[in-house]
Amino acid sequence: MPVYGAMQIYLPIAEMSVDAFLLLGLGATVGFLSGVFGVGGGFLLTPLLLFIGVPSPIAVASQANQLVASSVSGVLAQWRRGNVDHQIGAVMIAGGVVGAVAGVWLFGVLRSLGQIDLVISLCYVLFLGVIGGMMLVESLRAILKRRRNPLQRAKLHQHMWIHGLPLKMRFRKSKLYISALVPAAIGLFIGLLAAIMGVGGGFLMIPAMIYLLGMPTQTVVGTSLFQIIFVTATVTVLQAVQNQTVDGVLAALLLAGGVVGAQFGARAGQRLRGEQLRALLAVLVLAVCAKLLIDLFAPPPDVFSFDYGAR
Amino acid sequence: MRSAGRLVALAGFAAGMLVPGLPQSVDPGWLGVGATAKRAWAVTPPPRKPAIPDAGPSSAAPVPEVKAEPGGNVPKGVGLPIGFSNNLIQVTSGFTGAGVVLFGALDAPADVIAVLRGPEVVVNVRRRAEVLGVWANVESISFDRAPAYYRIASTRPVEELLPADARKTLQVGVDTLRFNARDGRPEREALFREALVRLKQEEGLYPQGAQRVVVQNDRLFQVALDFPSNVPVGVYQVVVYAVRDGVVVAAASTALFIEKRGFGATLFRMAHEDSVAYGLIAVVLALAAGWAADRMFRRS
Repeated sequence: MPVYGAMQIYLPIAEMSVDAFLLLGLGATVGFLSGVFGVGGGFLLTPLLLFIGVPSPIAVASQANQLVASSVSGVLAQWRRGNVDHQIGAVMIAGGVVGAVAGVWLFGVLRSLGQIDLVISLCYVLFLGVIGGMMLVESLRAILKRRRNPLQRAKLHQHMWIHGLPLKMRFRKSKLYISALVPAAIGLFIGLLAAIMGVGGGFLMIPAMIYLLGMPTQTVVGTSLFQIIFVTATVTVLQAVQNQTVDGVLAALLLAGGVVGAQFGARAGQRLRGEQLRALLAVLVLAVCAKLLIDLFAPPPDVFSFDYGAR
Repeated sequence: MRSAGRLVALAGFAAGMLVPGLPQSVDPGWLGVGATAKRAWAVTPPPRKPAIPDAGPSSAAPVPEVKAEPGGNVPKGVGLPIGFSNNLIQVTSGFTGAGVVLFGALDAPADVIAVLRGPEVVVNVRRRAEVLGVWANVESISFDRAPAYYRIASTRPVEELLPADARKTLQVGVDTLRFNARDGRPEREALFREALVRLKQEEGLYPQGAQRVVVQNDRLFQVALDFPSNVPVGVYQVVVYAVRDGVVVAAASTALFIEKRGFGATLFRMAHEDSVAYGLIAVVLALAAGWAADRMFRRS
């Protein structure tokens, strides 16, 4: 039954009708959050799409397509400020493309085995749980810290096993002399995540670049966005070719909402108090995680299901 | 066998059926939208009608008298003309389902069974079970030839019309469908088959209970078939059997096309048939959108 105020739009690849305003609203909300906190938001958007009934293979692949656009708009601003380390970026892209190819292949295998929904849900439960938990602890600590005496920050490791790896390269912009295997491995892992979860992986890549590579914080965001463009573009093409799961209409709606939301979010973020908001986001992330977890354990209405296609 | 020429001839026949002589008690439901157009035809015959070379039976009396010998070897389709009120259903973005009327004429009193089958597809049926508390797919069977849609219609319950072995041969009735399981596990197959039929019925794709075929004057028959909004697209085939004393005396078949139309259909087709171009275009559009978004940011 048509609901007044709703505008049903047909998603041609998902083969379902959804309310266009609901998708724009989801995109805008997640875009707003990503604007406020400077996170990608993909890790929230995909579960929300699953909750409104978008099949997970389509949610994940379309999300990758959407990320191409949001990363481009993000990287251009960083580029102008000279915050992109193309050299490290290129090494990470090389790893990322390999990861994307492997990830999309794995995605296809899991899909034909009927396990892709489960794997996507499990990955999200794991990642949302870890991220939400870490954010909550960190923000609570920050809130407490302001009340008590400022704590001494733990010193970063100066020498780790990572620095003993071969294939050392000099990265001038970031003033680093490290093994190329480390950024390549980080890129590879991000490529896998992009293919299977439809996320840019900034929430993992940025800490890894700071703590494992020792990159200066200034170049971290721009370089990670630079890499995400290439990885998500690769994932988009591969998903389209192998699984035919990229829904252009879905991606466009999410993007339109996301662009506007991010703009307001970035402005709001400058005026709002950080720690409380961060704690709130952490609670939101954990709530989404809990809902996914409950769905995994809930007995299905019918133990049988069917899908089409060659096995 | 199912040439375009014959379809046109059948369309002409349909028009001929509505020429005076048809009782006024025709169920108005099946005249529906087309009623005015068909009446107009009755007054002024369609201009292309004389151009049809083999329009013989169509332009003749509503009930062709040819090949009337009972139980004789009537060539398929000749003694049993059939047609759809509309043999092309277009599924657009606002599609809420559609109905068509299947009609035809008998050369002598008989019962009618119509079997409508959607395109055959590979279907994977999966069973979930609890694994460490989580519900996961643990077992699956693939069927090679499960029709995407299946429905029968008949003048009387098919069990009264045909013996079981004939029903099985002709695949009349959901329980007689041959799905062709890929992996040979007969002891599990029945369970999965049953589940597929149940799931299909829940989706309205294997409608339960035979639809009633209505026969008028022992000669003309028609049945209204309605499709739900989730009807699978593809080429459908209807086979109509004229049955007398438990024996099929005539059979005819024709096709029904269910197609996606519009922007969404174009995208869907491209995504499946030209997936490399689709993927590349999706990326290029996303790059352009990201650039445009950056321009908007900078100005404001």
